[in-house]
Amino acid sequence: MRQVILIFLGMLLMASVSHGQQQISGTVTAADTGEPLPGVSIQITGTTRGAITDLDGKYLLDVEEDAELRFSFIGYKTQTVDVNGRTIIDVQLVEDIAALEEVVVVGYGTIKKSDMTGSVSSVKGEELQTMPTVNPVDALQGKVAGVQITNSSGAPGTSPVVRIRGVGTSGDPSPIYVVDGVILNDISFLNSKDIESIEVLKDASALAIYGNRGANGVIIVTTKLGEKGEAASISFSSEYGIQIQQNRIDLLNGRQFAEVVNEINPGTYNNIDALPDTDWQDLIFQQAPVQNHQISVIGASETNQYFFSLGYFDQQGTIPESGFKRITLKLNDRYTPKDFLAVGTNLTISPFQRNNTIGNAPFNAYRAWPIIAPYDENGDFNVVPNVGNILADFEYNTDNLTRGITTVGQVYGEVYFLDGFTLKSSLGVELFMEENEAFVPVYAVGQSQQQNPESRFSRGNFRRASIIWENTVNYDKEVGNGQINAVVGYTVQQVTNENFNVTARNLIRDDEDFRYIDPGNIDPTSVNNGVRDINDFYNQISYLARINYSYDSRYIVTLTYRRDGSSKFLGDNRYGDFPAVGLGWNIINEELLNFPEVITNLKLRASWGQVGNDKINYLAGYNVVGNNLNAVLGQPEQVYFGQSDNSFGNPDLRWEIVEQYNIGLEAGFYQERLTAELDYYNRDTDGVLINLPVPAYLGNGTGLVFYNAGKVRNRGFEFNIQWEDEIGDFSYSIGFNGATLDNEVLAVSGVEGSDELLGTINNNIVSRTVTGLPIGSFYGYQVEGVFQNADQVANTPSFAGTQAGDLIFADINDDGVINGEDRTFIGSPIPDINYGINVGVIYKGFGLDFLLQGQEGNEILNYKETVRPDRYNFEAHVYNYWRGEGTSNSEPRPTEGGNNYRISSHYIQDGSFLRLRTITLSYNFSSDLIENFSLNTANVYLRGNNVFTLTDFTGYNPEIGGGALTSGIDQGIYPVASVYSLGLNITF
Amino acid sequence: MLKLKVLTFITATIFLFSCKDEFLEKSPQGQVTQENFPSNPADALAATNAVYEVLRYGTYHRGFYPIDDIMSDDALKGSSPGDLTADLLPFDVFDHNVTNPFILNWWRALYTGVRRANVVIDRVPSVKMSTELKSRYLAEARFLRALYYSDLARGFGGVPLVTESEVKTDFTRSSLTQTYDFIEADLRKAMDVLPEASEYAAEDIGRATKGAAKALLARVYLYQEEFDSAAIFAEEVINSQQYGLENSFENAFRQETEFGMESVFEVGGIGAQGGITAGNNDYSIGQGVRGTPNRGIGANRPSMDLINSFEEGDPRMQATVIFVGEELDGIEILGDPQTPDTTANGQPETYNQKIWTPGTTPFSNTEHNRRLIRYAEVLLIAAEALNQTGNSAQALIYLNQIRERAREGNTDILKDITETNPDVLEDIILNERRYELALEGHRYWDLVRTGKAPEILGPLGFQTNKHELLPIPQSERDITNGLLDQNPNWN
Repeated sequence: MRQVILIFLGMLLMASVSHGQQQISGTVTAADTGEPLPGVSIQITGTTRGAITDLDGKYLLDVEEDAELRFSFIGYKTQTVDVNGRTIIDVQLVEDIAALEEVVVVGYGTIKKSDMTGSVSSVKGEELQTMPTVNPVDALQGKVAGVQITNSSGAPGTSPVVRIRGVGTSGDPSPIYVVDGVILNDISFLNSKDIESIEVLKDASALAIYGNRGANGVIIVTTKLGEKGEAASISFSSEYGIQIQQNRIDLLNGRQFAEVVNEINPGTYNNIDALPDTDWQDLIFQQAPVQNHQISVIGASETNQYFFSLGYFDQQGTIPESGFKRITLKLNDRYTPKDFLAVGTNLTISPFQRNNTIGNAPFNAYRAWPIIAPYDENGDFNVVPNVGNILADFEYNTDNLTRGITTVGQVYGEVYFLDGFTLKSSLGVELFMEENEAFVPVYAVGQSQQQNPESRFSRGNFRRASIIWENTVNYDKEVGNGQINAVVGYTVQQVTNENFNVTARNLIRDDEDFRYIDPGNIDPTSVNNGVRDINDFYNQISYLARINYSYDSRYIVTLTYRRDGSSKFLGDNRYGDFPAVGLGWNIINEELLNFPEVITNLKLRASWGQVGNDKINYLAGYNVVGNNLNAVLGQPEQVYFGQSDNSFGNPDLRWEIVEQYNIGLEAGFYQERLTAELDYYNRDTDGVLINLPVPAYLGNGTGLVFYNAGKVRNRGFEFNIQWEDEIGDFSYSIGFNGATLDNEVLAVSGVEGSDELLGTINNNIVSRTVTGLPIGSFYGYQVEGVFQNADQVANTPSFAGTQAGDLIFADINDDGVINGEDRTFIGSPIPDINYGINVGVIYKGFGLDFLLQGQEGNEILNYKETVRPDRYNFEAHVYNYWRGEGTSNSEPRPTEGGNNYRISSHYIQDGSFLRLRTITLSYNFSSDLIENFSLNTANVYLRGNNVFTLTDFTGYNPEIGGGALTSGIDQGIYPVASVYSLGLNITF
Repeated sequence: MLKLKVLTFITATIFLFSCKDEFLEKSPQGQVTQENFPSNPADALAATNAVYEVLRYGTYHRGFYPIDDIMSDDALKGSSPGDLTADLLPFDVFDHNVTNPFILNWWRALYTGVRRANVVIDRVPSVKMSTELKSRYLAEARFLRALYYSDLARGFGGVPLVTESEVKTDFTRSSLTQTYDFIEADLRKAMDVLPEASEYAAEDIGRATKGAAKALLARVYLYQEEFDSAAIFAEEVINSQQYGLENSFENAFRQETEFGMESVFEVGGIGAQGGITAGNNDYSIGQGVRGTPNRGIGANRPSMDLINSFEEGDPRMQATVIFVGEELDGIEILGDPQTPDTTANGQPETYNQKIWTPGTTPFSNTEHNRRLIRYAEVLLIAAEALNQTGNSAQALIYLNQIRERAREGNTDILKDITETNPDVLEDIILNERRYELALEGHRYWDLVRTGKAPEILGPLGFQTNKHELLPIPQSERDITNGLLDQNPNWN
C-alpha cells in the first residue's frame, strides 16, 4: 500500500490509493544497446494504474501477484509480461523499426518522412519552449530554413510577422495556421507548452492540398494527446523573467541640441550651459516582468487518450501602462469505444486582457527636445513643442483596455472500415471576441496642442466566427511492394467578422463607474456608433484529393488536387483548381548502388504545383456607396445626410496564383548523426493582388482599387545541417540552417499599363516596384557627398535653394537638372540570407544551448529621421555636421525641412544583424535526488533572450516589418526587449 | 454487413451533399452598392447633398493651403519657419514641381466633386420622384460640377472631361475651350432651373441658386475675356434684387452675416468635434492663427507687399490682416513662439483675418463659412467687363459702390473714382480687386489673365509660359501611362 499526496505551490494535489499485494521493481533497457530507457510507460492491464521509468530506466510498482504488465515506449515494440509472483522484473524492449520512422503531419493526414516528396520542416513541441512569448510561432525564428519571423513590435501580446520563402504578394504575406484541423490566421491564443509539433509546409506538393489559401505557406500545429497505454503524468512549469530595453538611439543631448538649433537660427539659445538635459528615452522605458506558468496532465488508457492543461501568461510592458495577460485552458480527448470507431475533441479557451499604451511613445521620445525638463517647478507637465509631453500622454491617454476571449474547438469522429480506409468528419469552430474600452479625460498641457477639451469615451466590440466542416476518407495500405496513402475530401467553411463601436463625449464624471454610454451621463448628441463588417466575411467550398504511392520504398509519387470555391470572388473567378505533382527517390535503398557505410540516408525529391492566395477584403469586388458624405445647409446650419459613390471595386479579381517548383536532397551520415538537407525553390506569384491608385480624375480621392497587378519571383536555397554526438557523459549538437532569397519583380501590370507600383507613407513615395528589381525597393536620391562651397553649388545640378553644406544629389539622368526623375533605386528591404546557428551541450545534468540568428544583405530606410515638418531633436550623428569647407562630406549643415530631408541614400542603413536569440543554462536533477519527492523529472534553467545584437543599424531593432511596398521602413517603433528569466519544469 | 451499409450511406450523404451555389453568394453587409443607388427620392437627395460635402474638404480650397495666394504677391507660406518647407515653401519662389502633394490634393478633391455631381446627373433621372425636385437636384449638381471644373480649368487648363460615373481610364485632356464650353453648358442649364436665394426654405439655404449660377458664369466669361457675356450675367445678378453689400467690409466675413445678403454662394461649416462628417469646414484650419490662440497651422501669411499696397487709411487692410498683439473678439493674438515677430527683411508675423471665427481651439475654427462668391466680386466683375466693353460710366458706379462701403463713412479716404480712360480704369479695377478680394484666391489668377504676372511676379520666380498653369500631377500622368499631356515647360 502506498499513498502519494503531492502538494506543489498549493496548486495541485493528487491522491491515488491501491490495495497492493506486493511491490515489484526492475530496470527497462534497450535490447540492442543495453542502455537504460527512461520514460517507459508500465501499465497494469485492465486498470488505469501504472508507473514510468526514471532516468536510469528503473521503476517501482505495487501489483497483484497475478497481474499482467504492459511496457510501452515510443519507437519500441510494446511488451506484455505476466508478474507471476516475481518481485523483480527487468525488461528489454526491442526497437520497432517501422514506428521509428519519423512520421510527418501533412494536410489531411500523416505520412512517413521517407515517403514525403514535399518540403516540410518539423519542429517538436519541446523545441518551442525557448522564450516567454505569447505566440508559439516566435520560437521558430532561426530554427526553420526559409521561415522569416520578424518581431517588429515589443508591445506586450503582439504577434510577429511571419513570411515563408520570401514575399510574393503585396497584400497579407502571412501563412495560414491549421490547428488540429481548424484553419486560422493566428495562433497567439495557444500556449506553446500544449503543442506536440509544428510542421511548416513550404513547397507546392505539400501546400496544394490547401488550395487557394496555400500560397504563403501553411503552418500545421498539432496539440498534445496521450499515447495509448501512456500512464498519467503531471507536468508543472513556471518561469519568471525580467524584460529590459538595452538599446538606446543615440540622440543629441541638451547642449548639443541647442548648438545645432543656434546653427540653424543663430541666437535662439544664448546660455546653452543653463539648459536642462532630459533623456526622454530613459523616462519612457522601464524594466518589466514577464511570467508564464502551466500545469498539465497527459495520459491514456487503451480506449481513452487525453491531455488537459491550464496556463497563465503575464507580460508587463517596458513602456508604462502596457501589459498583456492570458489564461489558456486546453482539453484534448480521444475515445476509442470500438475498434472501428474513434471520437474526440480538441478545445482551447483563452481569455486575455491587454492594456494599450501610447504606441508611438518611443517615437515621441526620439523627437522630444532634450532641453525641456518633463515637469516645471510646480510639478506640472512642461510643454514639449511640436511633440507633446509623453509623460502627460501616459498620464491622460492610456486608459485603454482590451479584453477578449478566443475559443477554438473541434469535435470529430473517425470510422475505420474495409481494409485501410478511414472516414473522418470534423466540425471546427473559431470564436474570437474582444471588447475595447478607452477613456480620455479633459486635460491640457499648457496652451499647446496637447489637450482634450471634452472627455471622450469609446467602447468597441469585435467578433470573428468561423465554422469549418471537413469530411475526408483516407486510405493507407501496403499493396505488394508498394505503399498507398491517399485521401479525398470535401470541406465547407463560413467566416463572419463584425465590429461594433460606440463613442461619446462629455461624461459627467471621470471615474470608472461612469464608463457607460447612458444618455443621462453624457452629451447625447455626441453619441456616435457604427457597425461594420470587415475583410473576412466569406464562405468557401472545397474538394480535395491526394495520392501518395511509394514503390519498394524507392520511388515515390504524390499527386494532389484541390478545387476551391470562394464567395470573395465573383462570377467566373469564383472557382479555382490547384494541382501539384511530387516525385521522390530514396537512392539509399537502391541495392544496385553500393553506398559506403557512412552514408545512411540519401534521398532526392522534386515537386511542382500551383496554390492560391485569397487574402483580400471581401468587398474588393464591389463598387460601394459611401455614407455620411454630408452637406451643411440651412439657417441655422445643420448637417444633412449625404451618400454617393465612394470606392471602386474590381469585379474581375481572382486569387493570386503561386506556381512553385522545388528540388530537394536529403542525406544522412554516421547513423544519422550528421544530417543535411538542401532545397532549391522557385516561387512565381502571378496576378499579385495589389491595392493600386487609379486616376484621380475618376474622383476616387486617395482610394485604392485591388488589381491582379504583377508577377514576382522568389527563389533561393534552403539548407539545414545538423551534427550530434556524444563522448561519454558529454553530448553535443551543432546545427546550421538558413535560406537565401532572391526576389525579383517579373512584371508589373496593374492599372491600364502602368509599369510601376509606388509605396507611399503619408503621401511620401518611399518605394518603387518595377520589373527587374526586388519588390518594395527603396526609391529616392543618391547622395554623392556634401557641397563644400558656393562655386560647387553653382557648377553642379541641384535643387533651388541649395547652399554649401547641403547634400549633393546625383543627376541620375544626366540632364543637368535635379528633379523627381533623378530618383533611383537606393536599397532593398529584402535580405539575401536568413540563418540560424544552434549549439547544445549536455554534460551529466547540465545543459547549455544557444541560438544565434541573423540576416544579411537588406537595407533599412530610417524614415523617422526624414520627416521633419517641425523642430525635433536630432540623431547624434547630426552633431558632426558640415562646419565649412572640408569639414564633412557626409553630414550636411543642420536644417529643418528642405532638400536634405528628401528620401535619399543618406537615410539608408545596412539592416544586417546577428542576434543571440536564446541562451539557456539548465540543470536536470538526477533521479536519485528527486525520487524522494516522487518526481519523474525536474529541471531548472536560466535563460536570456535577445541578449545582444550585432548590427550597424542605429534604431532600436533591425527587425522591421511592414507591408510589401513599405517594408523595412523604420517609422519609430515599440522596441523588443531583452528577457532574462529563471524557470522550473517538473513532471510526476 | 449492416455496418458497411450504414457507412456507405453516411459517406454518400456527405459527399453528395449538394452544395448550393447560393452558399457562395455573400452580398456586402451594411453597404449600398452603386448598382442599386440612387433608387428612391431619399437617395436622390442624399446623392445631391454629397456633392456639397467636398466643398468643406481642406483640400478643396486649393490643396489645403491656398497655394494660389501663396504664389501671388499677397501672401507668403507662413506657419513656423521650419514648417512645411519641403512642399509649401516652393510656391513662394515658384519652385513647386510636378510631384507636389498640394497640387495633387487639389486635383483630387475637385475631381471627387465632379464624380459626386456625375452620380446625380447620370443616375438620378431614372429615380421615380417629383419632377420638380428632381430637376432642381440635377441643376444643383450641374452648378457644382461647373464650379469644380472652373477651378480645374483656371488651375490646370483643359482637363479630362469626366461625365460618367464608371471606371474608365483612357481619358485624354480636352482643350481649354472645350472645357469652358462644358462649364458654360452646365451653368446655363442650372441657371434656368435653380430658384433664387429667397425662394429656398430656411433649411435649404446654402444650396445652389440662380444667382450663384449666373455669378459663376460671369466669372467664367471674364476669365475667357468674353466681356459682353460677363457683363450681362453679372448685371443680371445685380439687378435680381437678391443681394447687397454688408454695412462694413469686416462684417462680410463674420459669423453674424453667414448666408447674408452679400453671400452669393457660401460653404457652411459647423465647429463641432468629429471632423468633416460632423460638419467641419476645414478651409480655415490651414490658415488659422498658429500658437496662441491655437486656431490652426498659420499658413498663407499676408505679405508686406499686400499690407503696403492698400490706399492710405483703407480699413480693409486691418480687416484683412491679423497682426500679433492685436485683440480680436476679446482674444489676444500672441502667435507662434517659433515665428519671429518680425523677420530680418521686415515681414511681421501676420495671419489671414478673413477666415477668423471667435474661439481658441482649432476645431471651433472649422465653424467658419467660406464665402465662395461674394456680391462684391460680382460688382467688380461687372465693373471690369463694362469698362472693357466701353461702358466706363456704369463701371464706375459699381466700382464706387465697393469703395463707398469700404470707406465706412470716412470721406477722407477711398475717394470715388472718376477715371474714364478704359486702360487706366482697367488697372484701377484690378487694384480694387486686390484690396477687396485679397486672400480669397483671386489675385494670382487675376495677374495671370491680365498678363501682369511676368512683371509683378517675375521677381519672385514666375516664368512666362510655364507658371500660368499648375502642372498635371506626376502620379496622374504615371497612372494613366502618359495619356495626359503635361502643361508647357513642366517636367
